[in-house]
Amino acid sequence: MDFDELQKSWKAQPVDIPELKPEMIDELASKWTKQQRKLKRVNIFVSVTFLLVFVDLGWVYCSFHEGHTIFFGGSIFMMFVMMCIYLAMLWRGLSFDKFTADTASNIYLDKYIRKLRWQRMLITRYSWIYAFMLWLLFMFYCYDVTMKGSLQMKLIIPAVISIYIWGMQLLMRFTKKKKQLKNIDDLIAEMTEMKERMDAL
Amino acid sequence: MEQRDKLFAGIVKENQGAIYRICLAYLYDKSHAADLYQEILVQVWKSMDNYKGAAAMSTWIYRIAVNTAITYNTKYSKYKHDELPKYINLPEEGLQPVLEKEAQLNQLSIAISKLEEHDRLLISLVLEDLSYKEIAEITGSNTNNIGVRITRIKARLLKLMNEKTDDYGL
Repeated sequence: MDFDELQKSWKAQPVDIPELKPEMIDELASKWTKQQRKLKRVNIFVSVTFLLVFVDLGWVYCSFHEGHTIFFGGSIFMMFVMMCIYLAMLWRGLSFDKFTADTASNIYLDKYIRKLRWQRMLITRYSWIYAFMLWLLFMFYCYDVTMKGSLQMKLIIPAVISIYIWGMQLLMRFTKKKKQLKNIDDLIAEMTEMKERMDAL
Repeated sequence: MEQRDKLFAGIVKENQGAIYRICLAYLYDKSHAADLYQEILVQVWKSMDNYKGAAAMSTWIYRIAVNTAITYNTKYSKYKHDELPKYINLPEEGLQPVLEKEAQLNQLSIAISKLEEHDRLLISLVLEDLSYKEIAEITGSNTNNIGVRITRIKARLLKLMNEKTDDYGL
């Protein structure tokens, strides 16, 4: 038995797939168009929402900052920073989805691994930074609104908020996110091995 | 029919056999291969606007097929290419040559399933009669090294095939 014989046998095997009909192409085209339209709608929605929130933040600050301490301004500023970072992350994430499968496999794998590492970074680092900024924002705000309140109030409100934010963060990290991380790590390991084998050739 | 639809239909018609066989080399179960085949068609459709003619159309198609297969295999680990059982139903002695050919094809599928994932990828391209240069362009590897690797994979495949033949007393 030689390789040519095997090759002939392999290529002669029946191809068990339905013939491509115009209706199938139409369906594919319509799915693709719908997907693109949905993506565009989501992008527009997110952009408009962010614009509105930015305008609102500006309006809230300009209208109310006079009766408040600098911590009120601090909380508004933190919210602004948080939203800017969120937007940057969102656009960076979207740029990964733009790559198509028509590049050489080692380049494709490299891009895919980078995308997975990005997702990993969002879970391991960004979520903590986000939680910290959210916590700081609330602490600033609490300090401002409880300034004239009792000591009890000054301690209990921030404590409850802190427990909630960090509790939820820890809970998510060791349940849902733990599973996500494991999946991502497995994918990275497998893809990296595949890429290393390709690079070694 | 629009120009894009016509082009797509032409590409698929010309390459459907090769695409499907690449799916088979990765995923033995034909129902999963059909899913992967569909996914490749979607990727071809998505990538059509990117094709600028820098690479040959066949290289472009194979790149999409191979990359989609890698992602599919990794994402859906439940569809991973399981090694096939050592013993399968073989035609009894004296049966028609058609059945013998079918048996040989089954053996070949088993032998391919015993190769490592990366080697299965390469051999699926070799079985499609692609040159080392084309395979290197698809995978992004070095042409000289790929030749050495493919020679080894071919030898391993033949060894596996011969082992099977001995096992079955063919």
